[in-house]
Amino acid sequence: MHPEQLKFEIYEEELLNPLHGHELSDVEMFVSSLLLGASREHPVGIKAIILGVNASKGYELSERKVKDIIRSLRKGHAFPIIASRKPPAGYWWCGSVEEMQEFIESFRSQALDELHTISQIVKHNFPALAGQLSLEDYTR
Amino acid sequence: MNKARSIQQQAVADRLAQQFDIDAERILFLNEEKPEEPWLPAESLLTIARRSGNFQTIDESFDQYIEPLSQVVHRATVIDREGMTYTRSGVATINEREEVDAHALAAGRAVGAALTAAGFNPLRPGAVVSLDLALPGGDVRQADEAQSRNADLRRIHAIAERKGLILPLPGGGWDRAGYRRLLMEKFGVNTAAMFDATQRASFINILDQMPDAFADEFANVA
Repeated sequence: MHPEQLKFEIYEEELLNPLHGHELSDVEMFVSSLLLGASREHPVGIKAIILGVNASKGYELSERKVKDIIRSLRKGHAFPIIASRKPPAGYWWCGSVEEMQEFIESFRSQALDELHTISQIVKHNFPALAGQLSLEDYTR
Repeated sequence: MNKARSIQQQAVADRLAQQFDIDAERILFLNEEKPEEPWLPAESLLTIARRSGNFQTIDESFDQYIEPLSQVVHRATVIDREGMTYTRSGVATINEREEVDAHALAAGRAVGAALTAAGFNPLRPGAVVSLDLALPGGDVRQADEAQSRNADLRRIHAIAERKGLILPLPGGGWDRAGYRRLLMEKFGVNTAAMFDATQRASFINILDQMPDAFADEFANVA
């Protein structure tokens, strides 16, 4: 199947047969559908999601809530929604293996950087706790 | 040709004609399941909407003829006072109904859908959603398309289930093999989520005209 068709197929399948029986909420459906129209060249940013939800649903989301929704779509529904912090920044449904590889690299670097940051903080300020740091602590 | 109206239908038509100053003879009752639900032609809907003063612009026109499916497509666009644009398609199959021409049917569906999207129900005038937004044009269209896609998919799935194309599985979930077969047959794809508004309206029109699964089950019973 053409990758461009695949994201639509995944979305419709999830509407009918949700992963683990966990149905998409109304706002999750809206955000997923909004991002179906996005691409790497034209991603949808957090601000546009907030304005879109406001226009269509009549209420305002915080940036934190938008990030929670994206996390739920990825983790709870396994939607391949990827993002870029570089301009043009925003979210979109992954359109190719190459895009996913790039996202994996970026996401992994970000996670490792955060682990390294906390390791530095703990080692310098709470050396007694340093021995307790392990990757396992961050993968639960 | 118009079918004879029941007393209740005539009362509904008279009330609407008086309330909105439209021609009662042009009001039809096309929904067999809801015999007292009126159907207003595009001209009547446009008249009511224009008089409401809630819209800057309301347009309706023929869009295209889909030859393989014998469908006509009309498109309606309304721009409300806040500058929000809503464009919707209406689709009808040639000879779909005896009482009304396919173009009139498609036009009425397009205008009705566009007004509904704008939060305007002609039978409840004044129910217009006020959107205080400053979204760029492209973002407005994307948000409207996202909302419209979801609403249409819900409707498509509900109709497909009624027609026996989506079947409940014993262990939960849905078997949509029949649904996908129909999509492949008519459109050459296996998901309606990728359709634009016109294709969704076209697919809904096809589904609507299929017999209900319940009716089929007893079709050969004397």
